[in-house]
Amino acid sequence: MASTSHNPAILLRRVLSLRENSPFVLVIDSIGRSGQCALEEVAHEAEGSTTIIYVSFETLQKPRYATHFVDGCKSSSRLLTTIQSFLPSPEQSKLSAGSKYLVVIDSINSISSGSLVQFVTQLASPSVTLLAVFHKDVPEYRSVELENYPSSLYLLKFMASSIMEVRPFTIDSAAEQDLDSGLQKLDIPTGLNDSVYKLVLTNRRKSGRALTYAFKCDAETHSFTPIQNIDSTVDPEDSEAFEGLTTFNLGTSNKQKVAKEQVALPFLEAQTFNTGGAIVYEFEKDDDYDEEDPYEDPF
Amino acid sequence: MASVQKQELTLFSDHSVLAESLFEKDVHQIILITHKLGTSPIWLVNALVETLVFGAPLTLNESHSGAVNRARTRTTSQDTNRIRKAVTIASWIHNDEFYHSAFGKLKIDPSNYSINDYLTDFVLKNHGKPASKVLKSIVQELLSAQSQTGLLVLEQPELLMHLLNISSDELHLDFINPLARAVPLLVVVSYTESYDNPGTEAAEQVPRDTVEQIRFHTGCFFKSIAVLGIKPLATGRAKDITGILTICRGGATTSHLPVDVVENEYLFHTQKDTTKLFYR
Repeated sequence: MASTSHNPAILLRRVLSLRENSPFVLVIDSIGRSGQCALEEVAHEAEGSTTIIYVSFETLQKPRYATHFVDGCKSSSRLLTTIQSFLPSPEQSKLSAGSKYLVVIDSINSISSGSLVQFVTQLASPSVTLLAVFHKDVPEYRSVELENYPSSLYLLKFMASSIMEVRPFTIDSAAEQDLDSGLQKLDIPTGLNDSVYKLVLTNRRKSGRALTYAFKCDAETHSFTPIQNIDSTVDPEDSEAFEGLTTFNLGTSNKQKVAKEQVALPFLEAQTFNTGGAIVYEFEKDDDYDEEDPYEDPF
Repeated sequence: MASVQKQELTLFSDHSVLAESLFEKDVHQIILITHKLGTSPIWLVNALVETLVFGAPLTLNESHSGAVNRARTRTTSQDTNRIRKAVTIASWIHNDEFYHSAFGKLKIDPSNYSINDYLTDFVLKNHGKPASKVLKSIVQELLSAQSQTGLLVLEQPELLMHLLNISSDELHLDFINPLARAVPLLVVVSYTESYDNPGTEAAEQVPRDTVEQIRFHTGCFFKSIAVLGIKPLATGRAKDITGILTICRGGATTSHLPVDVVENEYLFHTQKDTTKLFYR
């Protein structure tokens, strides 16, 4: 696992080929780059034995890679029942541990935000991967009484174990802003939805740690080139960042940086446990520990 | 502008306006036409209809009389073995007279098209009926209009959301999807002047009608293989230019088709009955 976390391209291929343990993969797209490219990449990378159930709210004909094609409907509970009829029961999935199931939803925007959590949690499981596309340019009406309820995008981002955001490949952020202001008025320029696009992958580990990588992708050659993010390479403790902010010296010297790096943080020990959890207790000289008192036992 | 070379309209990589592969068996596509205040898309609808009936958009870049002559020659020399595809037009902003007159000027035989007028008396005819029933009956009407329908044009179907008080999702699931899956090519013509999309992450409260309108247009984009956007010049009015036509790819994939959409931007000038195209 250590190698995948340091090689973004391998991690992306593992996510696309469903080898990474990721029950819910969310694809976020926009008018600038439709998420169909990500669905086709998953279909291309996934093993031939994978059963793909394609739920269509906007696709007009069955894609070549789909095993079953299901028409989307307004009632999410009816849709859920239809999808589940193609999926194995928990007993069956235990017996056929090797077979993989993939449920593709071409536009999860059509599922109302009220039933979204139930819909996702009932489908995503260790044997079934849910791959759903969310169009971030499709707004949703938020009634006054649900004003403080999280938006669909927020809920989906929270539940997803991997997030792939596809964007048009633009040279700089100024071009991206120009593009966004045009698309806000549905003035669609040429050059969008091209075979070359940018993919930002966020992969959540079991520990909760999220890894984010950007790639330049080519849909024709199925190649993924990691993009070095210049902004993220800036050292947050760079003394230049604090200059002019205050009269105090907030910078750290090289000696201090080395000393800081050598500090072993207490929670690091918890990561050495193979399974389960345990309490790490270190007796200190000021601790008043009475061996005969059962309530004093820290374990 | 008179000395500037006129350009042929091309939408697909096989140099065609409507590629033959779009009309193969079990292939269904949507093309979205968007237009704004001051630019009517009727000349573009005419061009698509002419392409289907005559094989090329004859009136584009031609004087009216020249186009009529070419149409006559095309019709007489047309291969009799070729399967003639018909056009069905459904409009919520023009009555049938409007299209009969427009197609009559183009010398298109009335047997090649049928017009469904949903402007005249729509509310009177459907008042009090459940929305789902009305949508179902319109779908049936449109599909029974012509058995050989190759092209179905819906002119401003978004008005159904307001006429029947339904959501964008209902309109897509119960109306656009069944129609698109029944005909080879569905063209949705939409008016997008009021489109101002704050996006899902915007904190501002947007009225429900506006949200549904934006959802409908954006939904059409993601279903379309091509978007033909017509807008006026950003710099204002010009004497010899009416507006800009932008051809770009839509959100739907074309990987199942042997052709791709050719993106391009044209300037166009509409004068009386003719429209001329120029490269930008």
